[in-house]
Amino acid sequence: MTADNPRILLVEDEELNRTLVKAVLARAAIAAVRDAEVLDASSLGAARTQLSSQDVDLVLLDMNLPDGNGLSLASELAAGKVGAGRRKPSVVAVTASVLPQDRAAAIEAGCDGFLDKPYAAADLVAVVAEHLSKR
Amino acid sequence: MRDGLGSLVPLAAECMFAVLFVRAVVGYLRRRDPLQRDVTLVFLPCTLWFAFITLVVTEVPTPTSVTVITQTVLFAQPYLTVRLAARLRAVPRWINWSSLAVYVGTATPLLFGPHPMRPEGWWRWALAAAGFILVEVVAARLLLSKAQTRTGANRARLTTAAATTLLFGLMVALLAAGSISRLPWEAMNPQEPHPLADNFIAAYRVLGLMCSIGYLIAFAPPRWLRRLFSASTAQSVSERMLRAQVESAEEVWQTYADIMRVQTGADAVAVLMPRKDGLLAPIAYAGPRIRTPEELGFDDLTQLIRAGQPARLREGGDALVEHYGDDLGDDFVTLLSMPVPPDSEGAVLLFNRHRSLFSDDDLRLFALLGGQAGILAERMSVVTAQRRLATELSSSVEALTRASQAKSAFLANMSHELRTPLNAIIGFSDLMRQEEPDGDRRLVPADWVEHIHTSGRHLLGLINDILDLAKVEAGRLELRLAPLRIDTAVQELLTGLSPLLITKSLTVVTELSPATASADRVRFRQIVENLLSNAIKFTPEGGQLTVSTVRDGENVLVTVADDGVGIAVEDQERVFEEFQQVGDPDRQRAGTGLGLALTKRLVEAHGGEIWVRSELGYGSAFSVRLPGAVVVQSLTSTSAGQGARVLLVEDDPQSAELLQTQLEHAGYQVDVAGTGEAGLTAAGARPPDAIVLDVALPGIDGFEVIRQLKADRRLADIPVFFATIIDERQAGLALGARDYFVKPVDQAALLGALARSVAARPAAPRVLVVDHDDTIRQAIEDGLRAGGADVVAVADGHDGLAMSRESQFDLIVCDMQSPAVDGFSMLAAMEQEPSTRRTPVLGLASTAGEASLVATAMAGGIVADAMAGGAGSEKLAPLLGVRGAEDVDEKESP
Repeated sequence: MTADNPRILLVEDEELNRTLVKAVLARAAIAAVRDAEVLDASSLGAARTQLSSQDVDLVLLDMNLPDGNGLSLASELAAGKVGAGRRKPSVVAVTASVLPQDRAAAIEAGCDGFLDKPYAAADLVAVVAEHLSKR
Repeated sequence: MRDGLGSLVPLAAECMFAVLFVRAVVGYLRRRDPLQRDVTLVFLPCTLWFAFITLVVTEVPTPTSVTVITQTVLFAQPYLTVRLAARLRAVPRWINWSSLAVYVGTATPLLFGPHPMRPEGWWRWALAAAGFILVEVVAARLLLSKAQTRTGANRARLTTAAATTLLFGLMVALLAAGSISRLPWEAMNPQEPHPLADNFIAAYRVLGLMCSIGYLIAFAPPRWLRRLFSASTAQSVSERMLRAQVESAEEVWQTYADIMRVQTGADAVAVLMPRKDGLLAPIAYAGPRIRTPEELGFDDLTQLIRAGQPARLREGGDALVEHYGDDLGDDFVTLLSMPVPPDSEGAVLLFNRHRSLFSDDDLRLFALLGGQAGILAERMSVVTAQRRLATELSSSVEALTRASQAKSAFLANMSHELRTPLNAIIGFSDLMRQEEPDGDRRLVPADWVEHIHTSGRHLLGLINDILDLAKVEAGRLELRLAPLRIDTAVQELLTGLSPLLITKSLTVVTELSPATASADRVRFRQIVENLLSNAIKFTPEGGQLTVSTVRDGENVLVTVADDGVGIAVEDQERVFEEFQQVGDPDRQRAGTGLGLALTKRLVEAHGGEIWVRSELGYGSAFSVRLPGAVVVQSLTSTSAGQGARVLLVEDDPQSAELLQTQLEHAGYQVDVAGTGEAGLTAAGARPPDAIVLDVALPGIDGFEVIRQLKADRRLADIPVFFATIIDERQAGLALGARDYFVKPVDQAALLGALARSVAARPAAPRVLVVDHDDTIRQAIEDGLRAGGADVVAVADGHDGLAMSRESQFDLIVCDMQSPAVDGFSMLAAMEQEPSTRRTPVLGLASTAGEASLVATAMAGGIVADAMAGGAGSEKLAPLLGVRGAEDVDEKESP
């Protein structure tokens, strides 16, 4: 892993899901995805700390977090309130809230992508690859 | 000319008074109304006096006696006016009597003085006039103060009456002044009239005329004037009715009653309307607080209507007296019919202690106005009904909207909740598919399998909760209610959850008093398990749970408290709603989010209630109240113990009480010993059927107790069970304990083990002996009997077979070479019988007579020995040999 490897921040309160994402990404056929450094945060607070201390390329963001809705973090990122002076990461909402109004809210909050739970491993890899390639 | 005019005035006054008097007399004669009589009496002096004056003026000679009588009556007028006032308002009795006394005291000197009067007798006139004026002023004051409590025409009439009374007093004052000033002049100039006399005479005559007009207006207004009065009152009633801010039909009637009371000056007014059954029932009442009747007898009222005039309440009929009599005893009651458009007819009851100046005609008019109130009330009730309907409609629309929103929210949440475990299942299984195949297998990380399994279980839990919730919602949840010992049920649950408790190093404090609920066992466990697992979830490592059960009157109460994060007050109601996960942000995964919602519904389905008391940072306490059950000694549990005696060696009184209660409930007789020594003594004095033993005891410990028990031949066979906090199972079993239970004790397990060992204790083994040789048979029989067995002995296999089919035996001792049916044939036949197939058989082969005898004797001896050992089928078992060995093995294994 080099310093040039992309960095992904996984904001997810469920350990099982964190394990899953990491396992999926680590086994991805696409090298950029496979080699990405995956940071994790189990709450919005932890995510803010991570985002202000280092550059992140992609945030995989859960909605139902213990200290609030993930969308608030998306808005903060879009407004530059979090991670000021850092590279602006892409934000993909990864959530089990899949109703049309949930999706609309995510886009409103400035999310760049949307991944419904449950997802197939290939979908996750594809979404991550797509957003990493944009950087 | 002057004389002509002067005589015209008293003539006019006289005419007026005469008319008033005649009308009053006629009115009184027609109705015999006491008020009318008193009015007549007030008019009488005036009428007489002006008749007298008219006679004087027209120079008709009047004898002295006429003068005296006229004066007597005239000076009674103030007193009579006071009497009239007393008819209209409350007047203290002493005023009445004083007025009479003043009249008699002051008028007597004048009336019985010399006629014609001499100049020095002027004081007689002065005294009489002073008395007259004094009483007249009192009467006027009484009338005026009454007037001030009334409104409208009534007030005007009473004020006029008061003013007229004063004028009348003034008139008499002038009369007196005229007479007094005339006396000396007439004495000196008998032929010459007093120069001022004419002026006095003219003045008092004019006053007399004014008085007659005043009294006319006040007490006997002409029809046109009365109409004017009642028209203005009626208008005022109508206006006030329409102006009143009323919300409902009841209020309309109440307002009407209030207005009627003010307008008529009645003490109380009741408005009656017909009910569906035709009886009149009070619909409104204004007046002093009284008991209002439910209904009024129709006969009484009809009678009152027919009477058409005020009647004494006591004469008003039973119903009236019964309902109003106690509180309004002295009143007059007037009943007025009140037609209410379109077709009903109510009534107005007026209660008066004192009479009103309104004529009955006027009152009837007011009652007719009640019809207006009826229309208003009708309209009001329609409006009220419409309003109510509108409110109901809008609230049901609101409720429907809320329900619909709740449903949508539920579905959205449900979708979310189902997707979460599915994500792990699909995700990890997807990963597995990508792993390198190894033939028809794949090598995958064991964790992934675990994750899928855990998520699958979670999903199943979720689905089960949803189904349960749906069942409760649809009212399809069937509860099998039965008396349930909740303290033991909770204890069992705690035992089941102990791995979780240990993992988080949670301390559990139990305060489980015996309590029996009427509950569904499965659902009760579900309720408490939800509360316990929540408590475990939200309590940090090393925390403490407190679980209590207690009887609460006719109910039972289960409380699960933790010292965890607690729930904010504003969230405390929400925790019972679906998918509401509140509280600590750093919480662990909070289950399905349905647990408490389901728990609440399950509790409610039992007819119970659930609530939470909590403070942030200080933990939460969830309490469930369920209906209790009458504790009946259950037959099955009683039979389990069968009255067997258990010695409980336990030093902690609370644990001892719990165990004792549980055991007694299961039908055991329990003796408790607080120390190991006491336990040994008790066991030695009276060997129990089983011993339940704690390890940590004051003095010698439980292990030493069992060692000594096993060393004592008499006590060694008593089954011993450990029930202790100390987890030294292997040591306990090695020392010969039958079983080892770690606290919290799984009650069902302990009772099961106890029941098995007590059931294994043979009451008296039944043995069937089959031998054709009388001597040998007798020897075996004696040997077995000596060992305490119940023996049936038969000579041949045929009888033996019949006997074995007839009843159950614990052992069959059989000569294998019996002549008629030999042992082998008998065994073969018994093999076919389900009831005898498993009965152990001891076969005796007598190849040599002596050997058989020895064998027989040995058998009997061993059996006898086993019996003497007291219980212990174990020792008997190997002897029973041949068959049923597997049973024996089971029992023998530690």
